[in-house]
Amino acid sequence: MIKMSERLPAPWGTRIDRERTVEFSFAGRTYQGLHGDSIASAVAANGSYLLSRSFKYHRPRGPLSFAGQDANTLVHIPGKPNSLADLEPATDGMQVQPINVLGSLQRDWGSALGLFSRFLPVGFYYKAFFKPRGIWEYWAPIIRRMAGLSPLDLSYREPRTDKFYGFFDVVVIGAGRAGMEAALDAARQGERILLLDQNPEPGGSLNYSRRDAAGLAARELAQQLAAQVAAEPGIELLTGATCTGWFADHWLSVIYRSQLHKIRTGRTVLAVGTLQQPVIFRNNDLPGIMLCSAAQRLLHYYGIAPGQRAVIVTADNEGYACALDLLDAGVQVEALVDLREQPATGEVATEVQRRQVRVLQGQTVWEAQADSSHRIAQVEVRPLVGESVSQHAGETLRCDVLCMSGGQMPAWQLACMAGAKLEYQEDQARFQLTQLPDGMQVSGSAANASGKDWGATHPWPIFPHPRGKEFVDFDEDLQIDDIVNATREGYDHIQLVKRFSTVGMGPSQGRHSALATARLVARATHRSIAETGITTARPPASAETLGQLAGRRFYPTRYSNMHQRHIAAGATLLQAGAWYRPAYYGPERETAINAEITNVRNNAGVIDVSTLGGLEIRGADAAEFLNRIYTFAFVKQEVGRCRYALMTNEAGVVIDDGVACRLAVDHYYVTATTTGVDRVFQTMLKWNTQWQLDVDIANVTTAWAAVNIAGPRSRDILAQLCPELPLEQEAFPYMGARVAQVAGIPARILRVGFVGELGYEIHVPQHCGEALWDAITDLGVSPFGVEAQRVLRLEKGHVIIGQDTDAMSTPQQIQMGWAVSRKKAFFVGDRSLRELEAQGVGRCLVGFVLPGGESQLPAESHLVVNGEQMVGRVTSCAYSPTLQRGIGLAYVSPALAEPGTSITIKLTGGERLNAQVVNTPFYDADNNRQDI
Amino acid sequence: MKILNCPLNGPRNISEFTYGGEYHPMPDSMGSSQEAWVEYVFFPENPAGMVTEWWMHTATAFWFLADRNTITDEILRTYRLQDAGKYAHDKDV
Amino acid sequence: MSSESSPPVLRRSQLYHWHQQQGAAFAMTGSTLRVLRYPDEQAPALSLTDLSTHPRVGFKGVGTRQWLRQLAIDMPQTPNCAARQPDGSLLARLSEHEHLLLDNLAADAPLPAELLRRWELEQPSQCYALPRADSHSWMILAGADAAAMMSSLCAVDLRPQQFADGSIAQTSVARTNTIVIRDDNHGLRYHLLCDASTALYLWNILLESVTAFGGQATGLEHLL
Repeated sequence: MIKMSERLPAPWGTRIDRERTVEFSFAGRTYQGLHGDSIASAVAANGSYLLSRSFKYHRPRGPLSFAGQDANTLVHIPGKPNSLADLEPATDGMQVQPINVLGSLQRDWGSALGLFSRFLPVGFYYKAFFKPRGIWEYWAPIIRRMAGLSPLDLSYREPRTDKFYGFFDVVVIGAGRAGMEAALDAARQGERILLLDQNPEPGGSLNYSRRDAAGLAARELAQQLAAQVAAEPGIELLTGATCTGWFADHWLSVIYRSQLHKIRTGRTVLAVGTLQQPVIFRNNDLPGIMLCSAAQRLLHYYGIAPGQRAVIVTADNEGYACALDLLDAGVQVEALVDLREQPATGEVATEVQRRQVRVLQGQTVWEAQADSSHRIAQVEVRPLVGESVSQHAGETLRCDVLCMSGGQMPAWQLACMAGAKLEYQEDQARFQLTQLPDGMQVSGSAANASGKDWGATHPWPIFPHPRGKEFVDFDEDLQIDDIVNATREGYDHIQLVKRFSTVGMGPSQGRHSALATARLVARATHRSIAETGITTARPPASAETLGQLAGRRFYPTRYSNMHQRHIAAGATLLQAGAWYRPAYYGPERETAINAEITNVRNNAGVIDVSTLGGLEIRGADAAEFLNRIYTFAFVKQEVGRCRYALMTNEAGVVIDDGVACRLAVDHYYVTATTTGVDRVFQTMLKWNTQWQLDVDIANVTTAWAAVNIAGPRSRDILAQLCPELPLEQEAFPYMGARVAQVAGIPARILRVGFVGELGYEIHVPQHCGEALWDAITDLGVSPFGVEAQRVLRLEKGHVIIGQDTDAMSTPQQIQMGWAVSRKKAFFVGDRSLRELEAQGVGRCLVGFVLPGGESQLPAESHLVVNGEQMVGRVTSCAYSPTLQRGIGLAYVSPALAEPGTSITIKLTGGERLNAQVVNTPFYDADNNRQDI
Repeated sequence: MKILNCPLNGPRNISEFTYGGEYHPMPDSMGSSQEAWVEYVFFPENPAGMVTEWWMHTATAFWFLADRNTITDEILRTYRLQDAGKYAHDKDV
Repeated sequence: MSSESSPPVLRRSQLYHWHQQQGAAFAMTGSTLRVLRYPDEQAPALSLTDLSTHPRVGFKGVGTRQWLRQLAIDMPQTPNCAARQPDGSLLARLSEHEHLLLDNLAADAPLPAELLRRWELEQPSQCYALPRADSHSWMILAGADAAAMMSSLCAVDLRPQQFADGSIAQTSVARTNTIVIRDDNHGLRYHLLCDASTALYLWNILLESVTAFGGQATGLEHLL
């Protein structure tokens, strides 16, 4: 067990509860921390900054920001891969593992890679491991193991994760000074505000930065503003909430308590602050080197002195504020290395001078060196000559912590996602957000309006070293040369530099590398930084888990009123759109389907066809409307009769079919395919929006449950259910329609024959579906499923739209020219069909039979070939128990369409089968069985 | 997520809507030239700029038109087809 | 396969078997069953109730409003608003011409049956009845937390301060088309009408959320 060192007394340590300790393990050792600590701060309290190994060279790394902004703190927690140790609270019993480690965190043999780094330039992997073709498959697992992040637990199951929708007049992102003030302003206007911040408390940088010599002003201001916010009922404050993206029309993704909130707002205020930038020098990535703000967070949040001897290197006045905080905490400040030639001014700088800190003006850290525990031990400081470093060896300063401030970058991601641009202000050496979209406002330090005096900022905190290791991008282990060389390879645009070098692609998304990269690329390509710019910001701005994005799974399912009866009867279900339908009844598929088919052909069966689409077409123009929508003519259709209805689109392509049943002169009940009805309905409405016919169109698909009783005995069965209705052939002929009571239930009865036997389709109100089913099956009628129905219809040569048709199928191609009326003035596909007919039919859907005895039947989309040339394809094929051989439908070229022609079908695996083209129907060619 | 203002249901997330293609009145089915008919059926204009499109509010199957700028993705207005005449003149805004 | 043990009912909610499995106490009216209560009910603050066997009817077509006006029915002035009728039934205007009449909770308002009877008798011009009692299932979500609960299922702002009593949203709830009508009565209540075929799906989704808020499925008695 490692005992933590003493914490600084209050008011240091605002986040910790000194009375409550926590114990957890990291890299196999037990650590003690305090309630309120992050994993990283608890490790730091034990005197260590070593948290991870870098991605490529396995260099030892520690926290850079202590704010969850860098990838150095990625650790593995069971169930939470790739957690940020500086954000994740330390809890009792937690078992934390470092990632990307080969061997141990202290002794990682992968770090030998760093010795070869000049042989591992950017693009090395692409160049070395992709040739010859296929070799990447060999290398990939090895390289991935070297450069991996957290291991994945494939057995992990995410708990139910709801997503939430929220609605506000204003969302203010960032609850620092500017954010709280913006929220209070909006609240005074009576607006409803969401104020969110990723930290556990409001206050932002007021909670850790220093604005005055005494170091009191910031905290006082934070407390005042927080109190006002709390008192304002119009403001909802959400801490621990991260906005990860801005989307069109002010739609924000916010992760809060590990759940995704989708927030719609009228206005967005970005008070997101700035990102302090590193200084780039040799070994600027050693554990113990951190941003000034990181050191201040450690002090103020956790009461931890970052070290005993500090050196500060700064390009602006932030280093001075940090120096005062360190001194107040009792840390010895070895020197303050100020890159700027001109001495700093202002209250804070004056106080630093008053306390006699050694300020090395116009100098920089040239190189840092570590001790055996990988922690920084000393730095070499050299004077600057202009922007270059002096050639002469400089002074060496011993230290155990180095704090750096290389200037500021506004947190640009959300604004740029919304279309804002970054303009470089040469005089201030920083980017400024401009061209904000309507409804977006940036305030506070992100807008360069913090009210703090940063002084001038040194414009070039980048110091190439002959031996390299000056890291620009810590995530991707990219050094100055990697960026510059990318431009020399011809990738001279910033977007190309990113793609080639991977700069900014890591978990920190360029927060600490974008500015330096822009500067380096600008100089290497002789352009201004403004022209060079930075790469496109895309959501998410910080990590989201796939589970959060997926949220709770919503897959609507549809069932008919009879569904429970199918389950009880042992049905195996299949899906048609969102519907679940019985495929067949019984334990054994082939046996069940064949028995169901035989039962329909010889006796009678019942099938649930509730999923069939149903549309009511009512009004004076109902017949005219159908005339325009469907290919047939409907005006002269008698009341009480059904007529086949084939629908084409403007290109003459068949898109749906059904039966139009005329219930009254001005009333049709039209069926449509299960999966097509919604589109048919929508298309009808779209057309009538234009035609303005006197017709009303209603989708009543679910209002009606329906069954089809089919088979020679079906008339006898129906007679028992509606004894009053005359059912003889003359009284209720084929294609007739009746409205009657069936088993005491009001019903529409359509005498139609999809399966080619005497049959009745009975439509009843949906909620009566189960009662109807019971009444029929109580008479001993056996059910049949969709699979049997598919074979039965195939035996009759009936097409299924969408299976036997595709996006090119015309009525002529599918042998349904008979269903196209030429006597009416207009229908939707009319003109295109006439044009296509003039060109001749390019292919025909024909029936084919197989000789018998095949070991493998053709399947849908198997090719019809002539030698090696494709001349068609199979659309349906099944074994017909009635005909006792394989039958099917296929598109073939017109030359092969003649009955008697032999065609060749190429099966999976290349085997060829001969089949013979025949006339359809395969079964009962004269339709004697359905019309009796 | 974009907002589309449905003339019947008010402003809603665009995920509640179904896109219905560019709006072009059908030419006289028999009287128009072959070229005009083919143009109508197969060749949307797909302009860089203002376009009038069909949109449908899916839950209510309500069709309407939207004038949209394909460069900025800004939706200038949404309206019922019967109101199309009111806006026909200022399409080039 | 038939249902000897169940009552001889012709009309059965899509949730009928679910109710049975919970041991629901039913009341029979005509050929219809209604759930009075479930055995484990504890007067929850948030409740979900199936009203699918309650009477309701729709009318649409350009002549609808004229016909309803002749019958002196109090109609909402704008689409997506609902108006309470003197007998407690609720008339929801879904579009320019389409209206939906929901029975009261006790299912004893005369208007739904009366309107349907008059419609069949008079065959009003350009006005068409819609079988809403079968095309849609009908549930009611009641309780102060209802809006907060719905915020994880529906992208429309249903909070009471934004979505006034009598407001209607025809939208997507848990990815299925749903008509949401706020109709306060002893507190915040929403009618939810979904395609009958998706009722079991939506019921299970809603109930999971209701349970997460400490609520329960209840029978009709809880609402009256």
